[in-house]
Amino acid sequence: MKSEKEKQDQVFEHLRKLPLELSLQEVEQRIERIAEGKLKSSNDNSWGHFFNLNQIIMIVIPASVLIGFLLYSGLTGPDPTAIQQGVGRQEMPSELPVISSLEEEAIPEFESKSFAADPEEEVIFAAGESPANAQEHRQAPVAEIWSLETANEDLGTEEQEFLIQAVPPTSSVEPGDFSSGEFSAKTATVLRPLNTRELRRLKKQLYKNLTADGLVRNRKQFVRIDLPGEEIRVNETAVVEQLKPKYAELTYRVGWGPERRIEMDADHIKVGDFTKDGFKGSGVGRFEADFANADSDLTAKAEGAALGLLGEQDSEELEWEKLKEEEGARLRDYCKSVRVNDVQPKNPLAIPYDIKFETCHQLHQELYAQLISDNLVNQVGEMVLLEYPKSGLYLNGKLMEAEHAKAYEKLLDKHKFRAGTGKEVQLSEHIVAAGHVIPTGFTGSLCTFDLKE
Amino acid sequence: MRDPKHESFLAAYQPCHEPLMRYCSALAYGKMDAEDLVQDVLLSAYQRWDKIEKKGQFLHYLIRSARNRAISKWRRKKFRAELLEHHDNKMLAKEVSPEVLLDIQILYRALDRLPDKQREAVILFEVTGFSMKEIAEIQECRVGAVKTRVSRARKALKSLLEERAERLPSMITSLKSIAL
Repeated sequence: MKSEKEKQDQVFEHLRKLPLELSLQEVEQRIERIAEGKLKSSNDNSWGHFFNLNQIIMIVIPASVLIGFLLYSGLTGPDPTAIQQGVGRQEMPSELPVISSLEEEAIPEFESKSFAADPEEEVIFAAGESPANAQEHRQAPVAEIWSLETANEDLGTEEQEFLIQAVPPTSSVEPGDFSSGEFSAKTATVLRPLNTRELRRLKKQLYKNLTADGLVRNRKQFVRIDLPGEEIRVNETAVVEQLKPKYAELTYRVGWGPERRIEMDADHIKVGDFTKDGFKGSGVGRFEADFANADSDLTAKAEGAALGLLGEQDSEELEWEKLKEEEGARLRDYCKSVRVNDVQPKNPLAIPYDIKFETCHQLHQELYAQLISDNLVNQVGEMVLLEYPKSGLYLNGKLMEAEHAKAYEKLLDKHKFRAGTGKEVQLSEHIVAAGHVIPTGFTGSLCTFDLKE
Repeated sequence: MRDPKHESFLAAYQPCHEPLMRYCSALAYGKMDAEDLVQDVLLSAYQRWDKIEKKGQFLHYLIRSARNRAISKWRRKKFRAELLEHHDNKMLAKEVSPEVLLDIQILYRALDRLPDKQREAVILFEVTGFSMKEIAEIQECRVGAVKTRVSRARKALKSLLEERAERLPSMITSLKSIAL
């Protein structure tokens, strides 16, 4: 029997003697054809033949950079000044009327012809009408639609990000040349709503130009730009004639009017009419504002409720908002008199009483339960002041009897609230304040509970 | 009148023909058509003929070229039945016995299970007939390393063939039982 090695050698021998798949003559013929260019590589038809890794890298990386740049520039949006230079008011015939999209709804027979790349910049001409007729159309009454969305209300300071969807029209004098002097301070353009993006862009553009022109020191300085129409005032100083066209272009979307103004600083920008009733317009950022008709929604609802026009849900909402108002007012009053943890006590004994919200809640419930069981208060929500000096426990200024006091002392001790000078606990329906009064105010824990509880 | 490039290329190729064909047949067995591989290698070599510096070592160049092409395209592929059939038909046409073809197929399947370097070394040594020194030049390593590779490859082949021989009687027994 042959060994495996011999068999292996035998097979290799077979392989060595195996006839060649192509003879030399056949190969020479193929080489002839290669030389004549008639023969191509077997993988010439595959896509991979045309590319290698180097080519792919050299194509893909610049393409990615280019696409990224285009996307980025697309997201940042076109320069508003560039748009206005392209289709600026200088290029528009001065006698042709221009109306806003809001007014277009009131004049449906108008034919729209767009002359601007930006749809927001649409210019509309009346079909077959003279500019004078168009002016008459423009002064037709427009439905008043107000929608003021308030994002967040805080105590004292209001952080607002809102958008006026539409505004009631004032007299419609359209953009023109500021230098012509044809507009009086009494006339005003329609206050157009500006969205957050437009506002931020406007702020950026204005700060850029104002700092470049030396009208403000830096981009954090508060700026007030008045746009009465016949001139532009920056921080109460009229802009020189040379710069006026530029700022007119920049504030084109804002328009002008006797009370039209832009206010901005590092944190916010407000654009609109600053009337005696308050502010009407658009704004973004953190700022305080007294809004004209800010409570109109609530007032309208109250009137509606009186007339029985509101549904059940609306009535509940109204009631809820009233409750919130009342509670807010109470809380504000309370906080005016109480300053929590605003003084770091130097006396190590006067370490602020600091407990968690859950403990506060528990203390609130247990104290009220005990007070009601002892018939010292009638119901939860009555104002209670428990003063706890070392001399004894005082309920609303009166010294408690010893047998009653023991239960409260035990309860307070359970929550690690010890007797001491100025120590007191204040209770109301939604508030518990436990701590001690010091000459400069109050230190301790103050918790408010949700009104729904 | 032939082109001088063509003449020189043919002159350089003639001594390389047999070893290259055997090497390409071994590389391409069951995975691609050996003729296609040879054609690709020749086309590439002809186009770069002027740039080849060591024309005296043209065979090494062709072998490396064939190896790189086979590695980049077909090394991960399994044996394809139609290519095996195509190869067998070609060999049968050239009066190779079916027993020899079966032995060859078994050997190639065993070779396919070896590491790349060992397989290449053993094919170059046993089939193509290169010396250890020439294989070392092709594989760009020391002669000792080639010897080791060839030795290990032979041992591995031996064990693989033995393993198959052990499995064969049991397979035949089971086949018989099924047939009965």
